[in-house]
This record gives sequence, structure tokens and C-alpha cells, in this order.
Amino acid sequence: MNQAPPALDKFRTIKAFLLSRSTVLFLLLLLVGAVLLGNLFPQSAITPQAAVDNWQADHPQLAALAASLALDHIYTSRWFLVLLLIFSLSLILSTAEQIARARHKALAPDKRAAGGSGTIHCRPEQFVAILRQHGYRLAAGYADADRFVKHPWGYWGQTMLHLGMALVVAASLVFALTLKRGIITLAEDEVFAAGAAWPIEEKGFLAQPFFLPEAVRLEKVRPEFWPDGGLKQLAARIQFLGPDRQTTPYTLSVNNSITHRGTRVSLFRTFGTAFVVELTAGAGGQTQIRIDLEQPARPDQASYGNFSFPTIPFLIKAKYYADVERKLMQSDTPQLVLRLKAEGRTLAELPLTLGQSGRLGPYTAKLLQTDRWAGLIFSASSGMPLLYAGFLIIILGTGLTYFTPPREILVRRNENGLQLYWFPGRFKPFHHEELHKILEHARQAEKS
Amino acid sequence: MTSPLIIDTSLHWVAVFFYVLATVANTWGQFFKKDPWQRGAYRLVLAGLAVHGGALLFRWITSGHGPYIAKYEILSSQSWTALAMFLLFSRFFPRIRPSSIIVFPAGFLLIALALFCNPAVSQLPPTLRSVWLVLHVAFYKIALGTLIIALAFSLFHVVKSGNPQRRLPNLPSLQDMDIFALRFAGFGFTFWSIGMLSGSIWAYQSWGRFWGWDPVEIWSLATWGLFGIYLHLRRFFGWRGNRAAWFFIVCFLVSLFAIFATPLFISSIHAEYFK
Repeated sequence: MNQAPPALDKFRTIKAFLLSRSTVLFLLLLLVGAVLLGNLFPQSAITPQAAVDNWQADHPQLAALAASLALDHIYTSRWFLVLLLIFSLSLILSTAEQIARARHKALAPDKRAAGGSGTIHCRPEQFVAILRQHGYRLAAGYADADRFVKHPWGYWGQTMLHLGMALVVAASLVFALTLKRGIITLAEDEVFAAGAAWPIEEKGFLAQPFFLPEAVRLEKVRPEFWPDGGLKQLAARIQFLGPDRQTTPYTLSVNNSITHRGTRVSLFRTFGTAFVVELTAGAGGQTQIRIDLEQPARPDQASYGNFSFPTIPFLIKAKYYADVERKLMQSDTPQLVLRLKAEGRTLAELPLTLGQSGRLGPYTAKLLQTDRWAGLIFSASSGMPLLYAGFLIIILGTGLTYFTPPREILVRRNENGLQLYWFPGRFKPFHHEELHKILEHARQAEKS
Repeated sequence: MTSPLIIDTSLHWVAVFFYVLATVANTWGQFFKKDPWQRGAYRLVLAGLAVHGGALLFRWITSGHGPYIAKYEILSSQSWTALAMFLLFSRFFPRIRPSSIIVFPAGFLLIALALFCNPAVSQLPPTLRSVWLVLHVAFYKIALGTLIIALAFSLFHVVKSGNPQRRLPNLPSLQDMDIFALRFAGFGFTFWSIGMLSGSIWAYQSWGRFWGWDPVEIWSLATWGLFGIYLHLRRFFGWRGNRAAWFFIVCFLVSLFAIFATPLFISSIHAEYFK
């Protein structure tokens, strides 16, 4: 007897493991567990750093667990990638099995699913016409029997569904491995230098270092509001500043990204106003601070923020109204209210509009400039074509599986008439009526 | 001049009236095996769907966007989709009709809940303006609509197997109900997957990433995983009968939590749709 090579043996063992029903169940359980952990632990990619810091202070033990098991960035953690890898391998192997099964089913009926047989006595050509009327076509002829199939392509439905899911999981894996994403916040006219480090960055395990090869400048931010104050649209004009002062301008808006030399640029939905305030101390020392606050939700509501600066020994609490009159969502006179705090006590408070100045504790504060700011997302990742392909194949598989389920009728000729064997697959109760109608038509044909 | 909101809610109330009558007629017809009552119930639901569909279309035209933002629109359109899906399926598979005992009241309950919410038109934020949103929402609605049918058969299975003597509507056999529940659960699972994927593509087009650990995304994926486990247990571990029915009921409750509860309790970019 021939012995299989050890490598082949090993492959078979791994294949059997990955296709084992218990392995698949365990993988699904792990996947559900992993995503729920993502809900329990704040994910660094979407949670503001201050919120992460607060959570860590409130839950020191959980924070230590999160740090050791990478539970604060599950999607880019090694263990989750390994889980995705095993899951996609299992799905790919399962797809291969499904292909073999679909081919087998398409060529020969699944005897285990047989049922609903009966004998009829009409002429064979009459019965063929009845079957044709019900969508059954001759698939194979044998010495004493004919095989009729309705929707033979439906046998490939489950294969397509598995293939589509395998592609989607593989796409997630490729995407997570090659993910390159940087987020910046720029005020109008501000430039983010080429090659600069991202303030917020997400990077896949196999991703190359991600830098912008050209500087980018935010030229203009244009919000539009509905009459009720809700945001209607947010658009921004940006420029890439290439070498030799060559500029490439783009206009982008929420949901309308642009791609510049392989880098996708999207506009964040949050935006606001950057206030530049000059603080002059009693001794004559001057310092400029920038306070970025989010656009308030309504004209009569403020947005808030706390700020600490290395040159100022106080905490600054700031609030921002879009309009000093509290009437408009955007106006030329936004109002900034500064509050100086130390040891929990409010030392001073000062409302400012553009150009105004006043006393704020030991400082004279002057609002020098207001500009809009917006968040820009830069990304360059692979895997999306696979995801699109998976999406389309799943839709195709759904159509084949649920709208064209295959069934077969084997017609055996004998001296008593035509013996029928019906093969409706696993979902027999759905197609009972069809068999009854076929038999009824056949009986009517017998009488005629 | 009559306000569009009054026309909209009035049409909704007319639809509620039809649905209530249909639910009563259908329940009577099912329990006492009166075919004319059942046929009448289906006609009433059809009439209700026509009025309800008219209300949704009217709102779509006047608001400038589809019924996919704010509780009123979400619940109302979910009610319409669930009932329309059921009528469509029962046309091709008449043996599933007893599930109308659950599906009709579920549709009525959804529209009634919608009418308890603020019907004022919410303006569409820019994040929700994409053709992928329409697909994303439509696929989830189809998924939930078919999961309700699977829920009906799972509940019937539990009730009928627990007390076969109890007076029950003219239900199919336990074995057939088990198969119906499985098939509709599979259909719902597949559409849930497609809905989730279309959402991922939309997220990628908007934010350069297709997965963001948003709470609604997380719960949607967890629900998908649970339905995947249900189908796997049924296919490969031979789960059937009451054990499978109870597991499906739990999965269905999680799916309701994922769609309707997470946006209420957890801060999320998805929360916009259910404010």
C-alpha cells in the first residue's frame, strides 16, 4: 500500500481541523466574543484620548488587562488577525468542499433527499410537457429513466455564499494588515508638512510607514445648515503643495472623498472654530494660544472644552457660541467665553468676540483671529476590491440559494407506467404544492 | 392649508385601522378555521399596505429623503417592509400563512410605536446622504422582516410542542415549522450580512475605513455571529425542535437590541438614525 508523503498528511490533518464543525463553531464563538470585547473596552482608534485616559483611571485593572491583551485596539491586534486568518482559511477550504459538493449534486441527485414518489400513467411525452411547464428540464437520460432538473444553477448558491463570505473575511484581513490611516485637524490656511508625524494614526501589522509625500493646506471650510440648525453639508477646499510650488487643489465634502496619488482623503463630519487668543501677563510677557472648539449644535447652545498650555499655569475652560446674538449657526461674530481655573476654583471669566480684549485674571486677553477648522482623514489600504467582489458574490449566492432552489424529478419507466422520485432538497415543505400540481396535471392528462 | 404632517399621520392612522381589523379577522379565521375571514384579513392588510405605502411615499416626497431617519420613519417603514415581505412570501409559499398570527400584530405594533414617536421631519445630516445608505437600510429591513416570520414559527414550535392539546391555529406539523423557521432565519442572516457589508462599503467611502468599532456595528456583527452559530448548530450539530427554537428566539431578541436599542443607549455615529 502506498503511504502518503508526510507533508500531504500534515495538510490533510490541518484541513480536517479547519473544516471540523467544532472548529467552525469555536471560531464563530470567538468572533462574537471578540466583537463584544470591542464594545466593553474603549477602542483607541475611535475614542478621544481624554476619554481613554478617564476610563483607564476609573478601571485600572481592566486597563492593565486591555494593555496586555491589546483589547484597546482589537482590530489591529495580532490575536484578532490570527483569528481572521484561521476563519478565512476555514471558509476558503469550506468553499472548495462546497464546489465539489455542488458539482456532485449537479451531476447526480442527492438520494438522501428523495421523497414524494408516485406512479402516473400518462404518456411520457405528455409528462415531459407538464414538467417543462413547471420549469423542469431534461438533464440526463439513462437506460430506464430520465432526470429532470429545475434551476440546476441553484446548486451553486451555497458555494457562492461561502465564496463571498471567504472573500469578505479575507478582505478584512488584508485591510487590517495593510491599514494606513492618519487623521489631522487643520484650521483654514494651516499647512500639514510633508512627512510629518500624524497626531492620530492607525497602522496595520504589515503596513509600511505612512507619510504624506506632499504638504497639504486647508484652504476653506464651508458648512451649510438646515433652517432647524442641523448640518446640511460640510465641504472643504484643500491643496496639495508639491515640489516646485506646484499645487493641486481639491474640493471634498462629507461622503465625497478624493484620491490624490493613491492616498484617499475624506472629510470628518466634525468641524468648528479655531480661536487665536493673545494673552499678555502683567509683567509684559505675551503668549498666543489656539483654542479649537467644535461647532455648537444650536445657535443658543455652546460647545465646551478644557485646555492646558505649558506656558500658562492655569486650566482654561472655554465655551463657544456660533453667534454672539444666539440667532445664527454661522456668523462673523462668534463668541468665545474663557474661564481661568486653578485648584477647582474659577479665578476669572471673560467673553470675547473678534478683536475684543479684556481682563482675564492676571492676563489681558485679546481675540486676534477666528478660523474654521476641519478634520481630514488620509488613508491608503488594500483589500477593498476583494470586499466589493465578496459583496457581489454573496448577492449572487443569495439569489441562487433562495430564489432559484434546485429540485429534481427522476422518471423511471416500467410496465406499470411512470414511477416518479422527487428530490426537493433540504427544504421540502416549501415545495409541496409544486409536486401536488405536477401530479394533478399528470392525472388530468391521464384522463384526457 | 393642511400640513403635510397631518396628512402623513392621518394616513398612518388609516393604515393602523386596516391592520387592527386584519389582525382581528385573521386571528378569528385562524383559530376557528374560517377561510373567508382569513381571506378578508389578507385583503385588509393589502389595503393597509397601500395606504401605509402612500403615507411613506408622501413623506419621502415632502421631506426629500427616504424613511430612514428618526424613530417614526424607521419603525413605520419597518412595519411596512415586514408586512409586505410576508405577503410576498405567503403568495409563493401559502403554507407559511399561519405565521400571520404573529406577523400581523408585529406590523401593527411597529406602526403603533411609530405613531407614539415624534413625527416631525428630521433633516438629513450629510453623513446619511449616500446611495449605500439606502441599500444598507433596505437590506436590514428585509432581514428583520423575514426574521419575524422565523420568530413566528419558532414561537409556534415552542407552544405547540409544549401543549399539543391547546387550541391553536391550523399550524403545519412541528417538523415543517422547524424547517420554515430555519429557512427564514437563513434568509434573514444572508440579508443581514449584505446589509452589514453595504454599510461597510458606505463607511469606507465616507471615512476611509470599513470597520470602526462603533457600538451599533459591534452589536450588528455580534448578532450576525449568533445567527451564524444558530445556522451552524442546526446544519452540523443536528439542533432542531425546541432547543433550536429557543436559541433562535434569543438571537432575535439580540437583533432587536442591535437595531433599536443600541442607538438609544450608546453614543454612536449610527445614533443619528434613531434619535
